Amino acid sequence: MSQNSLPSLRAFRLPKHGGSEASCQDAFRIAPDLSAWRAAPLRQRKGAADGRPARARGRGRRQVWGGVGLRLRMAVADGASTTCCSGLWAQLLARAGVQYTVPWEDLGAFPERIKESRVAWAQGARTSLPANLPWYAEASLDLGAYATVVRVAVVGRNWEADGWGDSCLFHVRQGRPIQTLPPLTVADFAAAPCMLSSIPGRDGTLQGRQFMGSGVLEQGDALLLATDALSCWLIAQACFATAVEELMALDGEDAFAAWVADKRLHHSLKNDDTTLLIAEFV
Amino acid sequence: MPYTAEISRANPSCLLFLLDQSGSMNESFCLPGDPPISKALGVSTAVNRLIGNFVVASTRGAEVYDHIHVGVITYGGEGVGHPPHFQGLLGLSEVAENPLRVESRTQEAFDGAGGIIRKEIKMPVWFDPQANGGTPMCQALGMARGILQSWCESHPDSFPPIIINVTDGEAGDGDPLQGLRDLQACGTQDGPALTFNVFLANGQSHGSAYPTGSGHLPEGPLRSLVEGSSILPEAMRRRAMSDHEISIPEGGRGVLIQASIVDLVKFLDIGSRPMFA
Repeated sequence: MSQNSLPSLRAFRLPKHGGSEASCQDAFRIAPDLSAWRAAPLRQRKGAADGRPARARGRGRRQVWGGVGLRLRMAVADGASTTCCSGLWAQLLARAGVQYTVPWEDLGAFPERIKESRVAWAQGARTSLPANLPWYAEASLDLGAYATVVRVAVVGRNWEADGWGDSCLFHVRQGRPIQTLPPLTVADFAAAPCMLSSIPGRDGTLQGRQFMGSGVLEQGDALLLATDALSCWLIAQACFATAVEELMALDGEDAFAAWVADKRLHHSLKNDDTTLLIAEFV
Repeated sequence: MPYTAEISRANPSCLLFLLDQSGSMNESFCLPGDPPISKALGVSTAVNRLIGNFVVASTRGAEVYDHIHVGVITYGGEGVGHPPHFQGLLGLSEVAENPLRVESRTQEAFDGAGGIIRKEIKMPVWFDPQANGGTPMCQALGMARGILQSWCESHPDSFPPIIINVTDGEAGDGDPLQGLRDLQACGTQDGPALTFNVFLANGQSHGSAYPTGSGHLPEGPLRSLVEGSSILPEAMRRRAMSDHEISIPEGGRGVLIQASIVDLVKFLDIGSRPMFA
């Protein structure tokens, strides 16, 4: 893969069945913004050349970035549904996750770099709630929000990633998992994940619980970022290659929604907010 | 596979506490290191706290979602019944709005910048400790069965009810084993109701936690509590390990014999949450 190779990007986000867009506590962020990819000519692919403009097909479509060289940052965050305004917290973490230049000077030190995000959460959460809160809403606000996060930066052929909790990154080559971060088993998804708190000093014992990794991309490789439900599904599949092929074939939001609905119906995918980012380095 | 139903407002779970309020609950826990508080106070504090935690965890903005229906049945010298502010099974939103009182306590917390801040926290109380008279446990189990049968009929797709019985003595009105088995016969399409028992420390021997069988116990009321306790679903065993570093073997039952206050609090956390949030 040359320094000027362009990734094909797709991003999908769906609330849990029965939930709404507003109740979705997953968030993702791509930098430069996904619109940079949208504005570029669509790379024609089998099944995607339906004549409609790329913009009309939504952000789930395969897009390429027409920039010079490749500097790409992606982050996915998953707010804990039992905590207050966790969707807002996930959005702020995802935004902060792509904020810094690459290579990151803050790799692994992200919790110390999110003071502004915490202030923004406190202001946003308080603003979104009524003035006189009942005891339980006050207690929920005091406890703060929690979220997992995984972020990756790509510079040329190299990528670096870090994260907290059970949102995962998969480096895939020819259907095989070159690297999975964090290296979880299906059973691990049943445990309470490590999460970042919106309240200073509430992260608990994060020391040693963050995961970090790096890798080198080859032409045809893909990086997948996913929140826990989809990560667990992927890890649980007997044939990883077939599972990845299914995901790679999803060429739009409608296809993703139909795929998720089918998996939920058959109970192979947990009914949870579900987010997937795919960067294919074609 | 049983005990995997998704818990939602459409399919809430159900948690029913049966709390011994007999005279012996006035005694303090009898294990070294236990605080000098009565069992009645320890149990009421722990259960009030747990219910409060459920309310807060089900709060979305300023609204409480009815993911869980909760009930409390007390049994002791005053007979068998519900606390005044806790009649029958209530959705968490109703529970949230009707505490007996909300107490304020001051808590110190790290401020994230190397200092300590003092914060006032709210502690809702739905029922106070009581301790007098005998132990009509079988009668309480019968009342629970009546409540749960109708709940299960109206929630056939829900995670089955969880019943947690906390006592420190023998049932004064018979052998509770049949009553516990009758409760287990209630259930939903996701499995039979789960009955868990905590026998608080009274200074005697034969303590055990999460046993796979009752063979180590002599015939009698303790053995009935063990045999009438359900096997913990896998998700609860995992929670015990991940959150409390308690290793429970497959087939381990949800029962503590000679439990300390610390054991009780951990047990309530493990046994009351059907799934990982």
